[in-house]
Amino acid sequence: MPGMGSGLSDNNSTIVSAFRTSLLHQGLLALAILAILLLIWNVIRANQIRALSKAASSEGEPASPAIEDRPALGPEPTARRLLRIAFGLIWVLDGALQAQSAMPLGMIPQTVQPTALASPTWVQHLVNVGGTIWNNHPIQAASAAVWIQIGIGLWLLVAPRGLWSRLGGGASVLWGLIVWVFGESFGGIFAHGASWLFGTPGAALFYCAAGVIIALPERHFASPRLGRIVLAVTGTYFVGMAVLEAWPGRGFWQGTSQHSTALGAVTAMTRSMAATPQPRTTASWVSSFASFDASHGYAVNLFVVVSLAAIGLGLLSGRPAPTRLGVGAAALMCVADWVLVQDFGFFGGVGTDPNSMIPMLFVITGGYMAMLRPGPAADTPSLAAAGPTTIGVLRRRATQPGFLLRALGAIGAVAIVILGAVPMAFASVNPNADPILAQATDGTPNAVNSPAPGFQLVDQFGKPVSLASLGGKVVALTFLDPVCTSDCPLIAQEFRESDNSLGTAARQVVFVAVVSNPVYRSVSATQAFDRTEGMAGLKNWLYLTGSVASLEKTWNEYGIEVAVIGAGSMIAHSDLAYIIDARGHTRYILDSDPGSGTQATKSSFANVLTSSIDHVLPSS
Amino acid sequence: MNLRRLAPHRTARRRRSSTFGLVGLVLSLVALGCSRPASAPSAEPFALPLPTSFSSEGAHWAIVPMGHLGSEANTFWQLVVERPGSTTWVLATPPGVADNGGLVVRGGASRPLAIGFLTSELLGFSPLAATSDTGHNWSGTVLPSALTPVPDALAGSGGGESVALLGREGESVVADKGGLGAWRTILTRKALVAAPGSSSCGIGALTAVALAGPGSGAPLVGATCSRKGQVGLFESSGGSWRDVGPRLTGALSTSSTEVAGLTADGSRLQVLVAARTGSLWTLSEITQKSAGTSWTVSAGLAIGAGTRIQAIGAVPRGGLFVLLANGSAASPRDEKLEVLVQPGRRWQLMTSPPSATQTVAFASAAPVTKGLEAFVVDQSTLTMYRLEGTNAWVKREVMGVQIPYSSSS
Repeated sequence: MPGMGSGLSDNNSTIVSAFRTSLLHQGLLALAILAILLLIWNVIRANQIRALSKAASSEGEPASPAIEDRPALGPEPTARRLLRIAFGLIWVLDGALQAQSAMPLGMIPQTVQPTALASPTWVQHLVNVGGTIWNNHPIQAASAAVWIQIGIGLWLLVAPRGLWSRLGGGASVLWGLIVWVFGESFGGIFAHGASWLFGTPGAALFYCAAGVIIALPERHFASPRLGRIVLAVTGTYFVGMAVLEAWPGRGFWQGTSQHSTALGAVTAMTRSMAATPQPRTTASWVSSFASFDASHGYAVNLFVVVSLAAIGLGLLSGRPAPTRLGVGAAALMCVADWVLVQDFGFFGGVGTDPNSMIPMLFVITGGYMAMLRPGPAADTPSLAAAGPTTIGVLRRRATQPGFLLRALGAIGAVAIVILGAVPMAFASVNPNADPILAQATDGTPNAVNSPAPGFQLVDQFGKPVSLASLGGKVVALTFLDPVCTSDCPLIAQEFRESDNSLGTAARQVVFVAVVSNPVYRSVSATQAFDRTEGMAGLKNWLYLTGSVASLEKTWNEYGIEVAVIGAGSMIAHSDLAYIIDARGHTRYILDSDPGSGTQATKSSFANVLTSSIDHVLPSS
Repeated sequence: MNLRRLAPHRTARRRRSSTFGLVGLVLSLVALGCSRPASAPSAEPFALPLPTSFSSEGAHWAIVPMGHLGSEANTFWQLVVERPGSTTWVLATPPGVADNGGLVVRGGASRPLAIGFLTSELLGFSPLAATSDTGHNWSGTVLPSALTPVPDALAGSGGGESVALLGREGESVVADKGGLGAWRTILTRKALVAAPGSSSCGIGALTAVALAGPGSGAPLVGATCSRKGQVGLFESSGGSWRDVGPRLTGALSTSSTEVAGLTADGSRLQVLVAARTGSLWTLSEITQKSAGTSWTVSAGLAIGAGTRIQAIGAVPRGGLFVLLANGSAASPRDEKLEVLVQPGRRWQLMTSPPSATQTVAFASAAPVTKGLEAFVVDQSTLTMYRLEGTNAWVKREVMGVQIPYSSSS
């Protein structure tokens, strides 16, 4: 009802229920895939053992496993192992966080938009592309994020070596970049108030960095060079962040301004983080730090600037002792910032990841390990090269079931990624929003079959129109206030969109609105509305008005409540739409409250309207 | 592990230099990101307030914002009236449309009283409400587009004709011959800028309209002028528009100007001119009694940085008041009331009205303090104070208004 406000909450029961159902269905599918792979593994294992027994009996060798025949696989480089397992677990955690019930509707407004809005216009436009897809298809998008991230995490965890493992790193880079650009608005590096404390340059960029390292051939881990490069880059980053933190006029040197009640950047951020729904203990930690910063903002920032610069120089030094100190200090600072400023990152119902500090710490530690403990000199030997004889290869295959299991596990992980990505890919090319958004706002259309009340009114050109005069066509009827400032313009746009999507079938449909304002009901008012809302050019659009008596009769017969409130308020009236078939029977009654009035909800309502009209078209 | 053995000296030096280069690059980028480009001094237009008071058909009227004044969606503008013979103010806000954008009154000697609604939210054109019985009943009509958000965007004449200024910066002027239902465009800003006679001004935005200038009764348009000392005032004459604005002399001859108010009643034309010198604005009223005659210029009212005009309105017999305040429009403080009792005179500083005064209303010109009332808003409560004697504001009336919060979103 215009004049009363409306909108979808993050925890809208229809959307949450649909999201859970979608996750359940896809989860069952994932389990089925894993079961099939387990079956395949079992069959292959049986064949391998059978082949080994057959070969051994023909060559007179024992079929039992022999230690000396196992291939000489070198250990996975420590740095790579650390990054692979750590980021595998983080991706799985992120995927689990994406399964929170508020994600479909809360992700964009609460997580994506705040950073995008603080960024330049071109970033906003780019982010808006992804945001539009998510908003139009929130269930598919949120489910996709769950399975893609869990899939990548499992991929990294189950495939420790070889091409499959490196491809897992590549997948981590690819999805990390998508998240960094569309989810984090380039990690906020172009936004006002970028700071190491707040997570610049974005957690996903560290996922990408780790993915790149994992995707490298293992020979790169054979010397300390890789580690030095990682530490040099992170050291340079820390020095840059120290300068940014020290830059005057950005609000970081103050807790509470001396000249006004305005809060400093860190105090304001920590206070808002403390207000996030979370356990009382963590909230009190963050709140205490916010109070401390409010009182000692200058000292806090001085400490941060000096610490970041010292860590950066330590990592850049290339010498063991300063590097070790730098890594140790970075660990302390990262954990402190993660707890006291970033507030762990995943609270509040729409937290998508543990924020940047933990991934950053793993990348720094990985770089340090790579420098300190280089791995084997060569890449992992292939299976074929490991054993000189056929019996050797067969024996090794039979005695290393873990390899096959991991290979099949990797295939399963890829299948889970695809499970999320494919529906999302189809959704992203569909410009029409999911009808569930309209259903979440207004419920499902009410199917009826009763004669529609007649009316005698005039159209926007002053020509008399009655329901009978529209006979033979399907009528989509609604009630609009021409001077309404909120719902009515949105409903008109939804009608126009539905008209467009009907294509040639629109020739059999008339879209009709009846004025729902007893004060502003002139033909000139309907014309001004049509002109402003782009309805003037629609051939099958009628905006009807009449005397107060004839309007009131029509409102009463269609159950439309109209109230003049006064004191500067617009008219309050019911938002309903009627689908009347060619015989003059009402077939559907739709609640047409446009809700939040976003592009997605408009498209979704238009979709539902079109679908209802489709059902009553003479040819259907 | 001995790192030095793995890193020969030469390689280390090259690496250090490339590292320093990398650090330098990052520092340069950081510095680039932090520095702000030099920008030209901002040319903020003169902020014109909508709270006002006026007299029409023997009644006194005031327009005030109420509700949560910090949020447009929850600010609801109210029209209150003190009808002839009555001693109390009553609510007379025209019904049927959201007025969060603000209200403007059709100025001039027009009848009946008409109120224009500035647009808000998704509304793309301005409704108009007219009353012939001091606000008991209203009829609604619409303008073809949105009114310009300035106090003098709507004007009329005694003959029932009206003009309206439309568009965010006054893109066009429309006229109606009576009935407020058949508007036609009589001028566009582009056309005025291109007109040969307008070059003396250097037109920016169109800021006010009036009808019935002295002698001609023709439409008049006020504008901002970038040419120093020139007042941007244009009159329709035989299908074309001519520049009739005077050139300011003295200290204001080097100021850019903006027509902040325009009042014409057929016998006299009053133009409120805001002249800008640096960051200071000076407000003057210039008056012309008949076409082609000389202009009378009032003393200037200097408006310093940080001071806002809270309200502008009429004082009986051609006078003018300006309510100045510090703080935000939602929370005005340190109010000062300046009155120009008669054209050409000096500004007269009155007793400061109560804190949070949105506007004042004058009932009498002589003495000007007689019947002076201040309208103080506290969300849904409107309190009227009357000046007793020369410096005592006495609470006279309290009106509770049922503000329809959240109805516009």
